[in-house]
Amino acid sequence: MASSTWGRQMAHSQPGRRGQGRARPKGTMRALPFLTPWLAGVACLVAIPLGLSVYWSFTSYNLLTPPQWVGLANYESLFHDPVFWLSVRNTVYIVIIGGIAGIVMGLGTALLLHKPGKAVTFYRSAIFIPAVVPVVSMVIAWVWILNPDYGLLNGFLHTLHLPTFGWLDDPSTAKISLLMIILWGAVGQIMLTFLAALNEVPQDYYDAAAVDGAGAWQTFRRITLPMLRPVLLYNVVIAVVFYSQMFEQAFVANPTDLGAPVNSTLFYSLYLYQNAFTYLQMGRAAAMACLLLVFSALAGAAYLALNRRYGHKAA
Amino acid sequence: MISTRRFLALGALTSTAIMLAACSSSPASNGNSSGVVQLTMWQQWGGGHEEAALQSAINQYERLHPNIHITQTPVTNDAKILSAIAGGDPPDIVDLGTSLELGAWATQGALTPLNSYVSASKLDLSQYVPDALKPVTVNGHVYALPFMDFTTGLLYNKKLFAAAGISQPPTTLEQLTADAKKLTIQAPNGKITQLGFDPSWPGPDQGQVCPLEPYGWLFGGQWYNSSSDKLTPTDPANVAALTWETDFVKQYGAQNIANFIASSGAYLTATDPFESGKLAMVYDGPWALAYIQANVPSLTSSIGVVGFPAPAADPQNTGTSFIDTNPQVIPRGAAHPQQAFDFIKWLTTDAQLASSFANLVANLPQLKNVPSFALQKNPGFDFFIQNGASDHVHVWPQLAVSSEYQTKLCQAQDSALFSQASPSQALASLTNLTP
Repeated sequence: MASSTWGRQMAHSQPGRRGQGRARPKGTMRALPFLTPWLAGVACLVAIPLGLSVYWSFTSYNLLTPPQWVGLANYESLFHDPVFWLSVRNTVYIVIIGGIAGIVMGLGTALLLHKPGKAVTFYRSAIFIPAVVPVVSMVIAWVWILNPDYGLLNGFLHTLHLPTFGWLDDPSTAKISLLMIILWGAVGQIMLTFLAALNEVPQDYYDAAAVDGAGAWQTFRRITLPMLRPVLLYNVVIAVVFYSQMFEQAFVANPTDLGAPVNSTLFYSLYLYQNAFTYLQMGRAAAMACLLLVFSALAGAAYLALNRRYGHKAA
Repeated sequence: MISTRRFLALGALTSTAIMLAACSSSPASNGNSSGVVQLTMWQQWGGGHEEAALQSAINQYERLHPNIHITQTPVTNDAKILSAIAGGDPPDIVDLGTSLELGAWATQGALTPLNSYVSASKLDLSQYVPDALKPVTVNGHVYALPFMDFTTGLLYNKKLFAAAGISQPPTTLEQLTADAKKLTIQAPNGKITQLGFDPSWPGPDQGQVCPLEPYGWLFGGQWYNSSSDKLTPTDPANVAALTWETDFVKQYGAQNIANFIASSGAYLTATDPFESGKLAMVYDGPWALAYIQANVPSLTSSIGVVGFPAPAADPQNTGTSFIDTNPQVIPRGAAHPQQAFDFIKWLTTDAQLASSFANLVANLPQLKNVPSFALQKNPGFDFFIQNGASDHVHVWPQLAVSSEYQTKLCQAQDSALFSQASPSQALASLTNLTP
């Protein structure tokens, strides 16, 4: 999510240059041949697959024989499938807990590391470094660290006479363990967005608040938080999109037994994949993809609405 | 001097051409310009001594048929095979490690039905062990030729038995449960350092069947009713089997057993729980004997094999096992189906090859009559041969939903073992599946 995230951030912060690049018909015609490859790419890789997906969701299709129209049967079978609802519950859980935990930790570290200083630079780098570790190697390393009997973490807890856990092998802690791995890699990036936003809060506001006798909490509540609104909102949306599509971390943690232990990490995308490529139920998988698309569209619309209302810095 | 307009047009053309070139695919070259037919085979034996055995069989075939050249590649990912078939560029032959996907693939048209090839080449199917043909037959059509069968039994570590003061392997399920208790060493904090038996090991994680499948048969249950064409997960005997499994696991704690397994090495290596001498009994197949011989030779003489014990009330079910084979299939759209069939026919009907291959990989010959081989003298292996020919062996139903049924069956099993659902609730969650 990092690259797209940053790209979008930059685009937003570009100063407006309205008027200069106004498209003229001649320019459009001249640009068209150059755009063709990309337009064709969008058609081949986005528009056509999307349309086919929607169509397949109303068919019984296994990749090998032509799809058969079945109407709403795929959707009906999903709504009667306990594993589908389990995957929805697992995903909602990780969206809520992961979203809140990521923002609290990212904002917390940003607030702590906002002031300049050598130690601060060190901690900022230390927290950000995990973001450069590739997801697959990160998860594989953590699977070893979290081994219940011989893992580093339980060994450490044991030396401190603290209780140890089954982590990824215990259905009651597997989701939290997975989240721990993800946040280890993601908090640095979230922190960075908040740090950037904190730097944009004018010092005058804090000075004025200090003169008025505002305490630390009041300053945070009345100045910092309202000024961070756009970034906060942005992080919420990114978290919802990221966690609702959660796939690779859970896949790498249990490649041969998706969703293990006991389906506790069977997230929506994982079950979609399982329907498509393990059970050959492409129609049912397409129906799941369409439902996810609807959900994402609603989340996007909610973001736009909230952004219109709260997206500007309240000051 | 080139004009701007021309330059732009040229640029646009070039970029479009590059894109189109990148999108197009070049036809696969299975060239036979020299008169030699190139066959590709994707096999699921993997690497090591099993791949070497297959390669030597291929070499033998190529010597007999100089106009055929076969390239084998290990491809264990079923999704990859399926995408190759769906993409219209499949290998000529696929050696599947189990028949689990066969029902789904056959009913969905991914495989070439072999009936016409069988009759055209006058292949006598009665030379195969009858139970070996069941897993490769879907709706009365043969979709694969069987190669190297396998069944399971109870493997036990005599040294650990002696140390626990047990002189005989268990003959009833109740006795197995009691023996397992004596063979388990568990610390007060729940940590297990030695386990008598783990009813859910090795499961689908290790590429093996869901253990609940044979337990259902052990209790006299059925998973599919062919006359009514209905799945029967909630057959009372199946519920009884899962109840036994759940009660067994509860004695030690499902999580403690999971931790014990997670802390052991990979299956079929010297550090796997059974080979490392930490697990006293395992419900596994003849290949385990070969891996023990290769990884921990000193353990070989301490391993005994008996039929898996049945509940005292159902003694006739002792020795219950699934039977399966390595189906040799020809994907739909294969470039050389006839040559591919000729090869798999030879591979699966050459009696001498069946003997030597079985001897090398410790699987059971798929043919009724084969020359004797060294491994038959091993009493453990002999048990599997005898039991494979008995009526204690069962076949998982070959249906479009076979694979999904088995995967979800194991998920249901795990949810009961971890007390997330009662055994009957867990199995009832499968009733929305239809064959």
